[in-house]
Amino acid sequence: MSSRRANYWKRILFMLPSLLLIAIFVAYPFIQGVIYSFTDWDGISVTKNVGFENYINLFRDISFKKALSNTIFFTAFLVVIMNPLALGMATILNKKIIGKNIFRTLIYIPTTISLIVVSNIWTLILTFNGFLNKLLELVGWGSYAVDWLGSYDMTPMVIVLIIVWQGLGNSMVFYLAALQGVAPELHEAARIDGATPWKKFRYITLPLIMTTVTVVLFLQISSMLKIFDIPYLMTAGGPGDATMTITMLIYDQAFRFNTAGYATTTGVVLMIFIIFVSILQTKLTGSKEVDY
Amino acid sequence: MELSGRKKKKYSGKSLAVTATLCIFCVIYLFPLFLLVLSSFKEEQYIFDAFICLVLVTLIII
Repeated sequence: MSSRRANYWKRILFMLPSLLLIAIFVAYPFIQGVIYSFTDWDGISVTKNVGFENYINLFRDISFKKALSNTIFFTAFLVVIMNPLALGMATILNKKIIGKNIFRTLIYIPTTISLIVVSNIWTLILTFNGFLNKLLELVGWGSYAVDWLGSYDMTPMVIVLIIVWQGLGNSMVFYLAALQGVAPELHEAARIDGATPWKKFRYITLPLIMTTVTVVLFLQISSMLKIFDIPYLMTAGGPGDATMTITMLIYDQAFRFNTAGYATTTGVVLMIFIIFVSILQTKLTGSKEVDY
Repeated sequence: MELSGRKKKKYSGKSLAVTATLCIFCVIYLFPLFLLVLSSFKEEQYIFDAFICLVLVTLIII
């Protein structure tokens, strides 16, 4: 009994350095953040407790509602476009085709580029006098030329497409690794039984890679709900508030309006929202995972 | 199978068609990078830095 107790304390002792680091760099800032969300902190001076006032104001705030709906739109649109595209691309590049390694590299390259450079290149292409509109005029489709980054309806979709362009390679690599782990014997057996390519994909490949789908979806959703850089660099939330996301709102609240306490409140609400969505998503996709 | 016992690699017409489609896709998909390369010769320093990073990363991946 005493030896078991000694082992227990030994384990605690070994875990102590990690626990200490987590306490200092994760738990303390988190708790401090939650505490600040109940104050009128302006980022500099002494704070005063305001109770739930920040939370009440936040849920009445029109800009928060707009930012939340934009963020949800970005996330949903990205998930719907990115996953079929990445999975399709991975499926194609998992087959025996000429130069597949080159194609894998080429499609992965945009992922390696800095987001600042990505937004710069795309701004160059999409501004009203940019490359795309000039190309449209050149081929006689000048009437379709629009201000891609200045249209209230078009810009959110354009931003999502740029994020898809930048992140496709990353998701594709995950799916490619998962597809390579699917035993070829299963496909062979299904082929002998007369299964069509679609049925093989639907009933063999997809259930077997569901674990990866769960992980990829989790990474995509959690990162998209925190998206900041590309919309901020390309449109700064505009035109109007068409591409304003929650993280941009937090940035504005903290550094433009000096309402750091209120910004922390928004951050806490965003965190709760991300946790809620992530749990829901992992439960939904996790229940479809199989193991043959 | 060749006489030497080495397996001959064969690509079907379908795989050639897929490769051709992928080539077209990659040209369109990587067009912004082509613009980056072009810009690196006339724009500001950071675009050139980005271009150098791109080349290095590509070499590392390959």
